[in-house]
Amino acid sequence: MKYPIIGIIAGVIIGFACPFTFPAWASPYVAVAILACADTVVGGIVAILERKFNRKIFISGFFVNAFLAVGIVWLGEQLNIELVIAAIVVFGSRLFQNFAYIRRFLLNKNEKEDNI
Amino acid sequence: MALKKIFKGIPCVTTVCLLLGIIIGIQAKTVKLQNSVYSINRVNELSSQLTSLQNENAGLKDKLSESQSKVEEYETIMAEGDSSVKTVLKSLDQFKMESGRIAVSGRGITVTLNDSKKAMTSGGVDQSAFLVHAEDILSIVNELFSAGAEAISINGQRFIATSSVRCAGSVVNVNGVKIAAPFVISAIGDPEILEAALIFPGGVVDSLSPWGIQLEIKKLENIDIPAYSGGIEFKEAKKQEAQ
Repeated sequence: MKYPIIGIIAGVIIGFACPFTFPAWASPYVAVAILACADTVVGGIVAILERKFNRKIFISGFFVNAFLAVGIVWLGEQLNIELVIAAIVVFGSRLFQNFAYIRRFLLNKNEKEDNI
Repeated sequence: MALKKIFKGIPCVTTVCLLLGIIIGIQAKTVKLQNSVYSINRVNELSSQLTSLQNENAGLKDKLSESQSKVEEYETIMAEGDSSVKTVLKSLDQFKMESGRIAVSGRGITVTLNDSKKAMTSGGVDQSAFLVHAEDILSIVNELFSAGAEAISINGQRFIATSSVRCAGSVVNVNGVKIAAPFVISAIGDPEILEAALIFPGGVVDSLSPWGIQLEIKKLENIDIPAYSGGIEFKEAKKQEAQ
């Protein structure tokens, strides 16, 4: 379970160190895409814990969710409504739910080990 | 079976995590750089400050006109009693009239200037030539004064001795107040002479017409021209001692 965490930290460091940046117009889209991707990753970890991880679902979810989120932001800009909030709320609440699930799962696991 | 599934998942999730981390890192750096250029909060703060200052300004203007009408009231009350005060006030009125401190009315002309309609259609030529510029307004004001105009206002801004007409982006600044097209220049004076001063061959109107600037001259029997409401500060100029 520690490898994904190491991966994300290493990624942030690489991203900060690398010389290029996103263009300014793209940054709201990227922000929402990051949220969608993070949701997928956390969902994937939950799936691993539940023993029903499927690589195809995980990889496709990672990209499709990101593009969907970007599409929603774009649509919101065309219609002049802040659809980005919808994406933030949905992905944000799912992130919290999944984190809560992981926490409970890990706690329960430890308790079982203690019992043994 | 279950263990195998875990080991199948971990590298995949780790790779994706690395990718996600890289995106987050780049995005964080982008946002950091953007904030150093400008921040939306700062813009909002400044615009709300501007609005509050504008409101304050409007309130102060109301107060000023209130005070001015009070002063006038006192003056009339004083004049009722004393004849020497009356003569002083009479000369005060004269000075006010000369300096544009008092609203005046009389016959004269209004000149309405508006941007050319050609500006939208014709390409290739410098588009700014089809717009009304501060210089166009100034040259008209100049002609009117030289033809004997006694009082001139531009969009309700009284033109006095220290007035300036200046281009300020897409608008024009008169007496420090922004005005936009259409520009209405009102002048009190002999309407025939004032009109003739503008429309003679080779005159101001002729020089503007090739650009399609919309210009309309109206001769009116009664024109109201407001008083100059701002202040004139004398910081450097001092009264010369009598020699």
